[in-house]
Amino acid sequence: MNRLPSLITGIVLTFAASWIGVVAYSYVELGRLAPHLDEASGDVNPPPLPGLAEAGMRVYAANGCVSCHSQQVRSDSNDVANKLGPRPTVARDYLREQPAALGSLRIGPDLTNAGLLSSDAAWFHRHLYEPTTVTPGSNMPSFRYLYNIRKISGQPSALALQGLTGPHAPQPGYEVVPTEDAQALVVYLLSLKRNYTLPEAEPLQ
Amino acid sequence: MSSLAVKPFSAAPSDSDASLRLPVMLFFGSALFWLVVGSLLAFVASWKLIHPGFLDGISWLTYGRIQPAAENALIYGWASQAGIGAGLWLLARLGRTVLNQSKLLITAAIFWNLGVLLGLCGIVGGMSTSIEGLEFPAFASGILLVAFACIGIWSLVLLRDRSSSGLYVTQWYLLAAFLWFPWFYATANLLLVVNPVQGSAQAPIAWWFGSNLIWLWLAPLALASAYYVIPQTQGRSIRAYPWSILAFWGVAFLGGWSGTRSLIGGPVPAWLVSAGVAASILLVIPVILIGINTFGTVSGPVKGPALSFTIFGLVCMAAAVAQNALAPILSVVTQFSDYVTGQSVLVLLGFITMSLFGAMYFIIPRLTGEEFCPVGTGWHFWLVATGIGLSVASLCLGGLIQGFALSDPGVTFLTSLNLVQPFRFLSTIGDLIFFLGCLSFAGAFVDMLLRKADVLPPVKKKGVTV
Repeated sequence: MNRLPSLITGIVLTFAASWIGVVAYSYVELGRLAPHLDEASGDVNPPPLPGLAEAGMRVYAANGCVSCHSQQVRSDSNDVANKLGPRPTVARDYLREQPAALGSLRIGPDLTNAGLLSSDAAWFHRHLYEPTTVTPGSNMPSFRYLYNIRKISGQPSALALQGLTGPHAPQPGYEVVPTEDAQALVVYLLSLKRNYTLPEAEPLQ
Repeated sequence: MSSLAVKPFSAAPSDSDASLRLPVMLFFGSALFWLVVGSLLAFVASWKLIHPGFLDGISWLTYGRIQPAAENALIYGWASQAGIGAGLWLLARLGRTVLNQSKLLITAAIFWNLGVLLGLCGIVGGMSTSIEGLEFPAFASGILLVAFACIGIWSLVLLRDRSSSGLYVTQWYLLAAFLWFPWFYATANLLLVVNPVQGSAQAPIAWWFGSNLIWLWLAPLALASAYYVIPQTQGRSIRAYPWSILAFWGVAFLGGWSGTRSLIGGPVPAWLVSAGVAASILLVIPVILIGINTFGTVSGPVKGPALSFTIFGLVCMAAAVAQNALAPILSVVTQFSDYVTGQSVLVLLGFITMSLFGAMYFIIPRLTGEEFCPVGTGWHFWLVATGIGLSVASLCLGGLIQGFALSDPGVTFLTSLNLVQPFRFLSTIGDLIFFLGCLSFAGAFVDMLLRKADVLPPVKKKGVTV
């Protein structure tokens, strides 16, 4: 008796159930969500990303930021009470994310609303360059490989980081200048603000 | 049908063993290499987590690249290859199939390793896709899929050409795993990496992929081995054999659904999460049946490395499934904490890796005609068991404490970090012990090959090995 064909049929069908239920459903229903146009204010939500933010997303992915930082404010939890954001996130919030870095761990703080922490790009740069000088006790590694240390020749760079302290602060006559990757990453982090309303989302708090 | 598995193996390697010796040993040997690499990287990553200044400021050694590199080395380099090697041997052994030419399989093994190597270089080189379990850049996953096509076709040939008519549950699991893997791996790569869907749809697909990777690929490979090793070492057939078929369909149906459990409270439709929770709870039923089949077959003291490792793996599987089923109660505290890491260590190292060690201890002596050095085996077992136990216990306990701290609005993030730090230190020690255990196994493997080389005449009989 050869039961191979019927066994293969069963194997295919059981798999197809979750393939259709989870994958095809998500693809069709969530994959076609469109931005929401707020009639009153004329805003489009989630707002379009600033120019460099898309490149910044790739830097975020390439350096595995998602290994430690989630981007997900949960409903039915203390996340809003913990000030991770003004409301829980919904599927449409991730419309423009590529990849959507929801994350599964909070080894570092949640970054769903990183742009609401500070609107100061220089703060983020100092933090990425030498985290403990900005947040004492932080266990975030230094991302100083995203910065160039170079000798000041003539006029100092307008982009150079100011007020650096700590062991990796530049010697006198040297400056620390962010690479394009670092600039893009900070633009992306500053763009992370889920403080707009969506019809399917809970109201802002 | 179940009697198939209890026929005593012949003392001399059979013809089917001889025809598969080279490809299977190649899969096992390279799996062990990646096991050592992966467990070392995992230890380095854990150490960096408690000492962020260690080797910092170097792009390719940053935590966010080393950690996924370790995980992918363990999943694709180690567990997948060890499982493929064991699976091919089991298919040939159970089907009494003689593979006359194994060159294609050897080529596939080389390509698979090339894919893993390029994928890992891609991750540390800054080309990671940043999707858990799928971090390899597209060109590396493409190579893995091409290599897998050859392997999958051979597995089907082995099944079709079998000279024994029945199908034992081991063959069910293997056939299914070899059919499922290319399907879900290609689907996830296509929809998340090559031609990614809109961000809003990615999370459920990514978690679906994650649960498939465990339940429809690595777990079936591990279970297929367990269902063979246990009756063989015990010299009796599986207890309550018909239930194993029921359990098989349970795992097949529920495995893929269980992933969205991890999105409790997350930005997806509620029914997707409920389905994930329901599947995770229901998965307890097939696992109980598997437990009756396997533990019920073991009588008397557990002797020999093949059986000890397999039993350890199955106990971890039961514990992991219980943890998953408790997700709806615990997740409000444990989600995003180190508890989650503890769960994945329990599954990937405790369940999958230990079961595959058991399979290798059963298969390799039958392929080479040489026994493992018992001292090395003892060290291996106690080191890896202690390492896994320490890591899982400290991560889960520390994770619970961290989870309570994280969810308490009165506690700052830095306080939660300080609370969890000692537990992370313990789990790092666990990672180190695990790495030493893997090293001792790799050493025992090389030692056996060297002894084998001494015994065998340098010129091999034509047509036997290749």
